[in-house]
Amino acid sequence: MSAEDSSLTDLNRLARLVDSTADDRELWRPEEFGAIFRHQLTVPLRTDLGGLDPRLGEKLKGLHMPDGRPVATFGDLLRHPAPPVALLDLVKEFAKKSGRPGRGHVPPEVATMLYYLTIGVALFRCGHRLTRLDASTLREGFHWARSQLWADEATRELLRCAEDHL
Amino acid sequence: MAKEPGEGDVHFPSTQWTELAALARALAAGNRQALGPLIQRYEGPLRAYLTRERRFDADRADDLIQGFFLARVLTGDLLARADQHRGRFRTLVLAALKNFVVGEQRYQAAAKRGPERAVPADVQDLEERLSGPDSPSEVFEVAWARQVLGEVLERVREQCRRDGRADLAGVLECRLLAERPASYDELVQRFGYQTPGQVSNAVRTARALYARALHEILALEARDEGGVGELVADLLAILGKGRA
Repeated sequence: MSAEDSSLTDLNRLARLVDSTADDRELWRPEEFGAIFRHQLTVPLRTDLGGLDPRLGEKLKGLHMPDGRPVATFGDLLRHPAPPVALLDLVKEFAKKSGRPGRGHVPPEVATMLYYLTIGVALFRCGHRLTRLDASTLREGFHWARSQLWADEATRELLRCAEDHL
Repeated sequence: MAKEPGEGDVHFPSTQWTELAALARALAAGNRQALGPLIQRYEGPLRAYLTRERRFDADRADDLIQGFFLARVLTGDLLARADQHRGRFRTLVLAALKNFVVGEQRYQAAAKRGPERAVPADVQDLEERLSGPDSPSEVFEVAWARQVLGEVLERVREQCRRDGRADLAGVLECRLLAERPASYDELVQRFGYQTPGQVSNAVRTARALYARALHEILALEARDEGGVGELVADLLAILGKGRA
């Protein structure tokens, strides 16, 4: 593809590209949220959380999945039958941070999904309330999250269970 | 044909265009190569104008362009005129070429009638009178816009190569400029990003590099900082018309 061709293909896209005030929200299309969320679940916890807690390594030590594998990724932790609350709390903080504009920013929808999923897992699996949000706000949040069709069925089911636990 | 420029032809314009003033100074110091970017910027658009709008054959168009650059650009004449010019630099370039072509045609017609009746090429007043008011040329404008965008892309590629971040140029081309933008998954697969944050950073950085390169490229012919914004608006308008 020549520069000429590629540059003329979509004028609106070009206009957004040269607009220095363009919003980060425009980086991704809604139909890509599912892919971004799935990718986040495969990311090693050490990669994204290492900077938030220097003792992360210790917290992960000895933590294994039911099949014996060490807990390594966000997905592992969120699917764990009894995840440590301290780690879930870190994930929740990461979700809050990554939903804000700036470096490492992900679409707010994806960050919000991760946020409520983490709270939901803590509630459902550990019986622990990770947040000071009241029940009604939490219910609304769970409801929003589980109605996002780009999230996988297992995630939405977990959110449904969390909502039932309120 | 126009005369070959010598050092004595060099003007010392105090043009308000910052970048053009720098070129003029370099030219005055005998550094004609400094004009490379300017010549490269306009060679294609002028050729497009001569061949597609004025219907000159390619060889004749190349001769005229070469003569124009020698007589009007390398002498500093065009840069000197830029100082007095209120409009866009590209409008001045096209008008100067039109004038040059009129002069050349008259010179050649006169030469056919007999060498003693030939009029020297340096007949500025006559050229300007004959060329009439400046009229925009869509062919020229679209070629200019495409040339600018091509330069922008090349500058981003070069910078990314230099910085060891070829992936950013790749993201720009396959995600931000492509007709069918690569999906999120394709970006991850193609460039091996580990986290969504890295992918977002790459897209955001590629966008910023492109905007900055465009700004730098257009600064060559912008009168001032605000002028770059006007040229960006021109560029989008020209491309919009070109697609209509």
